[in-house]
Amino acid sequence: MSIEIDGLVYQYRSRVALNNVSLAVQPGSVVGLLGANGAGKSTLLRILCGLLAPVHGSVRVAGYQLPRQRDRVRGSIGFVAQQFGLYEDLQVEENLRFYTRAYGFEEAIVSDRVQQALARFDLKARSADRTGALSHGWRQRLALACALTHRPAVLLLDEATAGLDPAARRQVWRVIQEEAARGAAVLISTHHLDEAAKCDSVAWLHEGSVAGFGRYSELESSLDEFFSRAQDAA
Amino acid sequence: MTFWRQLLLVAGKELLHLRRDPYTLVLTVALPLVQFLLFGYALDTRVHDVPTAVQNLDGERFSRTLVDQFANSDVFHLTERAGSEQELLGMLRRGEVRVAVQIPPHYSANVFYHRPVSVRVWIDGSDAALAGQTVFAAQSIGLEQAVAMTAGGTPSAQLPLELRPEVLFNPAGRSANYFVPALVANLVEMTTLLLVALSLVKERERGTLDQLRITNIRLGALIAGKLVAGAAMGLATGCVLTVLMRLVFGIAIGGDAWLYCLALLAFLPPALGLGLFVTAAARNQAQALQLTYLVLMPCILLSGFVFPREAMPAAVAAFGMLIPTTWSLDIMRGIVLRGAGWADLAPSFGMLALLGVVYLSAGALHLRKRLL
Repeated sequence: MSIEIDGLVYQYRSRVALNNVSLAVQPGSVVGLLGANGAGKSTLLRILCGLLAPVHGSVRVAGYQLPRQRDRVRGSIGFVAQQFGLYEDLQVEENLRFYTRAYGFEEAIVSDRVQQALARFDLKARSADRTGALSHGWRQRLALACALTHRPAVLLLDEATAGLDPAARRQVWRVIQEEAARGAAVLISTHHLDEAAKCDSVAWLHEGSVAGFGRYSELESSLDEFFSRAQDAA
Repeated sequence: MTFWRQLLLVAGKELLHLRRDPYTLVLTVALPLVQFLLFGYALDTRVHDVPTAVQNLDGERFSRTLVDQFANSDVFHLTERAGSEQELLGMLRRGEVRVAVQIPPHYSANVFYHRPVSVRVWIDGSDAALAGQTVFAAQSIGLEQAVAMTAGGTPSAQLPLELRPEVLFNPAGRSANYFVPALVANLVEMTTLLLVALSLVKERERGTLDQLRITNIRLGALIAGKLVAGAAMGLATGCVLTVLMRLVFGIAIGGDAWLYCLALLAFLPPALGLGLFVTAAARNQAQALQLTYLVLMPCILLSGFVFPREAMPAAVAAFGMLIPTTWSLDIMRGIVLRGAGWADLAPSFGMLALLGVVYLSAGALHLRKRLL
């Protein structure tokens, strides 16, 4: 397993953000994280990145125990956050070069990887543009390129398609499927049910707990029921 | 909606923002409070207890009375006694004393027989405000003594005692000589502190800090990299300002140029350490700027940059010893104006190094704790 979570508990002060979450993601599979805002999706992804330490439970990513082996898990993860995490004053190629170097590659490999990434994400024509001047869609593309230059075993995407037009979303999904085909384990949080349908399986988070796990088609009816109940309550 | 209702709506919302952000509220209140206390209590332009050395070549009754006059004055504080003129001037150059008094041989006999006598007073002019007040105070003591000596005697056109103050290191009392070298030290520290203070906060705000932390860059390397960049910029600022000091203000480095370079390097570690504290405490760039201002204000006001430290209450002066700028200014004015060497400035370099080690390690630990 590339990701193994067992009995995970996380608290922000007195508020329980994740309660007894258990989940596994195999290499080469795409798992979607569904849930309302505040359900704990981003918190779970940040724990898997080693950015937050769980209060209880066991978390293994790429074979390493977190947070104990946090330093060893680095380099095995590609992470795209909602905020992108790009240097806006740097050019597109400079961002790519910096992040590729940050993963510890030799200079000859860095240049190769940067050129490959520019080609793969159609960024060649924009390589000298300042990142801050790019549109949302182009920034998202660059963020994904930066997260993948080191060919991570685990790809974590936090609402990676939010705010993208349909064409850009399709391209992100093409990349996700290519990465899964390469053998990477992909965990993506999303609000789009059509995207959930594209995942191999879906974990439905509700108030910090896994309310359901399985193929989207299996969960669809209970999700519909949940959403109509939520609408009635509103 | 009336204008007043609109006004109240906006004002109410602004106050709500402040209430919801207690950190900014504390800083907003703390800044004027610190300024109020500093200006009201700590800062006094009237100098007192200026460290003074005496070489008494006479040693008899009247010379002892003159020494007592200095000792009993509020302005002077006798801290050293010198055996030779060389020793006396050495103390001034090293910054151990600010005033040196030399009473000539046969002073008492000359006073007794109403013969004119002159006493030399050397004053450190590297602090213009202090120099002006001590010249005046020394002349007052001389005048007072002279009047006492002539009382009951034959009136004469010439006073029997002349206290001859001689201002060293900045004899013209030029303000630029006093402020510019100190400004170099201050701006090097300010640039370094600000760059480090803003750097990590910026990364946190943009979300790049999280991205960096999942790469192979270790936390130690991340902090050290930020420090090296901050130090390089601080040093570059120092070099540019040094050239401007020479070309624009015509102020030459009186002492050793290599020691001056070492001084620029020595200013960096404490400023880097304080920058780490600010960047660990601030949640955003606005807070980092406010905190930097809060840190820099005592550095400017309590270090002797504008107000003489000799004019400060003892507790404030003691607190000033924890401020790196206090020692930076002493070193800078020592090298540039007094031509002081390594042996003269070693204690100040030592204190700066100690503050550098303490602030840098405490700042790094604090930041590490915040990030882990």
